[in-house]
Amino acid sequence: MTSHYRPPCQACASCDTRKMAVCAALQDDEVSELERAMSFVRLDPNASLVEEGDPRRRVYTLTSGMLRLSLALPDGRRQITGFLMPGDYLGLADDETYAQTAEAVVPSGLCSFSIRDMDNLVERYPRLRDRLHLMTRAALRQARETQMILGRLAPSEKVASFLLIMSNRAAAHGRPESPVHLPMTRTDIADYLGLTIETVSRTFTKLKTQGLIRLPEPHSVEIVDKSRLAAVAGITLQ
Amino acid sequence: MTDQLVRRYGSLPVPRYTSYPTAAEFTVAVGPVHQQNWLKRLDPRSSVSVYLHVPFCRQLCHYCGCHTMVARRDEVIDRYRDALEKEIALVSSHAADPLRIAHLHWGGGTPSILGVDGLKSVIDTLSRSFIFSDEFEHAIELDPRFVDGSLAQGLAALGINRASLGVQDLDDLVQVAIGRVQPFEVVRGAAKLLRGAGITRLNFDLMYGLPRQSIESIRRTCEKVLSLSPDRVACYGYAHMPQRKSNQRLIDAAALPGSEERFLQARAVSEAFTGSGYVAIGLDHFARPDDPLALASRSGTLHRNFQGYTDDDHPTLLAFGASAISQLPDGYVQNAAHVGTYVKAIEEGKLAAARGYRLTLDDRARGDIIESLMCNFTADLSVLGDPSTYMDELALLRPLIADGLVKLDRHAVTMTDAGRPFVRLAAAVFDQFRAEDVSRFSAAV
Repeated sequence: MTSHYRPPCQACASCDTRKMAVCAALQDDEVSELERAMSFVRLDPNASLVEEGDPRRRVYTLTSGMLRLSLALPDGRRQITGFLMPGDYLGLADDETYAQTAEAVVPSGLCSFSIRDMDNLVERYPRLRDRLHLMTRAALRQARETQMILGRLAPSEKVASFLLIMSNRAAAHGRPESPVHLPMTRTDIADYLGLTIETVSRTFTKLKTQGLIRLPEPHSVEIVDKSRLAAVAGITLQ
Repeated sequence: MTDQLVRRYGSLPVPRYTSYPTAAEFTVAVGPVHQQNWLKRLDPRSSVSVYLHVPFCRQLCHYCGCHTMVARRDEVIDRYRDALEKEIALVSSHAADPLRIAHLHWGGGTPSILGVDGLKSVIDTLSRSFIFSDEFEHAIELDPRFVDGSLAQGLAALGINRASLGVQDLDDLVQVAIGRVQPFEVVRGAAKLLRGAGITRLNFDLMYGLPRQSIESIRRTCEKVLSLSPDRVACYGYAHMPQRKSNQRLIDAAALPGSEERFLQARAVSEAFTGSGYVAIGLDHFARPDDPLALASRSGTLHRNFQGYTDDDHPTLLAFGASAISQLPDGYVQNAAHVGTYVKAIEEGKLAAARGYRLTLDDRARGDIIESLMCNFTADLSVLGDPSTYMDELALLRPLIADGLVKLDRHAVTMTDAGRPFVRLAAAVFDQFRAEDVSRFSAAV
């Protein structure tokens, strides 16, 4: 289920996500301009925000929860292309239509802007353009990370890379590196890494057996030894 | 460096890999029908090993993790022995021709609780259905507290030619803490009686990781055991699993050594025996250099089975008794663990298989690698196929390689000297079965 509503006044000024999101470019007194153009969206778990191929009318900033981005493959399978965390911007790389379906993994909240409003704001506040540019670069970096994960051949390499990247992204979003919170299901992870759910599950166990991670609960992964996990991943950490 | 490694890896729960897959992976999908078919398919020209399980003791030691129980009434024991004999007849009736026995091993529990007459009755039954090879090995596990002159003489008369004495530890305080008080004189006396009777091949079982044990106490135990000139010594790590073994709740967990202490204790045992000319065999055995186990280790023909390390190269193990696990060319079969269930099935003329596992080709290849690592500390990965088939395992080995525990040379993976105590971790890399719940396995060292 999706619900839209107008935010109360001063919502932006007290927003936790603001310093990580595109709106970080604006001063407190300028942000009210943004607030006037914005509506707020709440998504229940698995609710769809946009569908692949829909005409692109709005852009979004995720303020809470998590979104999964996916493409339908011709054979009916689903390729998950990424997970958005609070502060991430949806709609950067899309043209006339949305290139990917975006659905909530857990209850999620988003700020929504019409494209015309956002274009006007960007005209008036060049710093917003710079910030969008910065976020585009971050999104490209994430795409590169995803490519690297998919390029890894062994399941342990893929899962270890995934955990390290999620940990780094959590840190970049001002949250602890470990335990890594993974609200998505093992099936979501499998569809992201191009593995079967059995392989994902077994690989988590193998990493745990080798003392590289702990699994205090299914959605939480404690990274016991980052450099050894990176050795399994076969990647060099920045 | 080693301290760090022990802290990192020492407390990880990893199987001891006396089989692959481990018994934890056996399922009820394998039962008497499979057992019967698999027995029919045995090659009549092959020799087999036989294991006879006697799950009774006069009293239960606190540390025990075996399938055993206290037998208060002799009828229970007699009825069980009857069942054992019926099972032998039943199992052998399903195998085409009389099979040849190369190794016979009595384990428990305390097998001598059957008495010499009881043991003889079972052996006579075996001899009606099987052919005993010349010079076959006939071994028994013994509790030194129950070895007297007549038992020693009786065992020798039955043709028993190897005995394994459960020593565990010779320190007074430790013996009290584990509920098994048997002063050194008792052990020495038992060894003397057995040797005097002609049972000259003696193995001593020790344990580390017991409550109140220290490196000093364990060294003293090793010295006393060395004074008895054992042919072989096995030293197992105590696995404290009070949630599964109620008798272990009598052990004060606060008196148990930590994983670093356990590691140092195991090392002290190894130093004591290798320092006195014994050869280290696999993970936890020691033998005189001229012992068949040492020769097998040197020639790379050592094997691993449910009793530990063995020079027995017969791929088929027929196991009789409650909870006993048979190893057949097609897979593993485990009898009902509950004595009553086992006896009832056999008395009704049914095979007692309760669980088991049918081996696939991939399981066999992985089993070979794990056994080779556990026995020889090296394994050839090419049995799995070309390198693309074991890429995942290579990725998981990288941290162990970075720590200097494992070396990789083309498709051969080898434990370094520093890595040997951690061999179970390397073996676990090749285990495809590890399910989410790993708490049921003991610590890695």
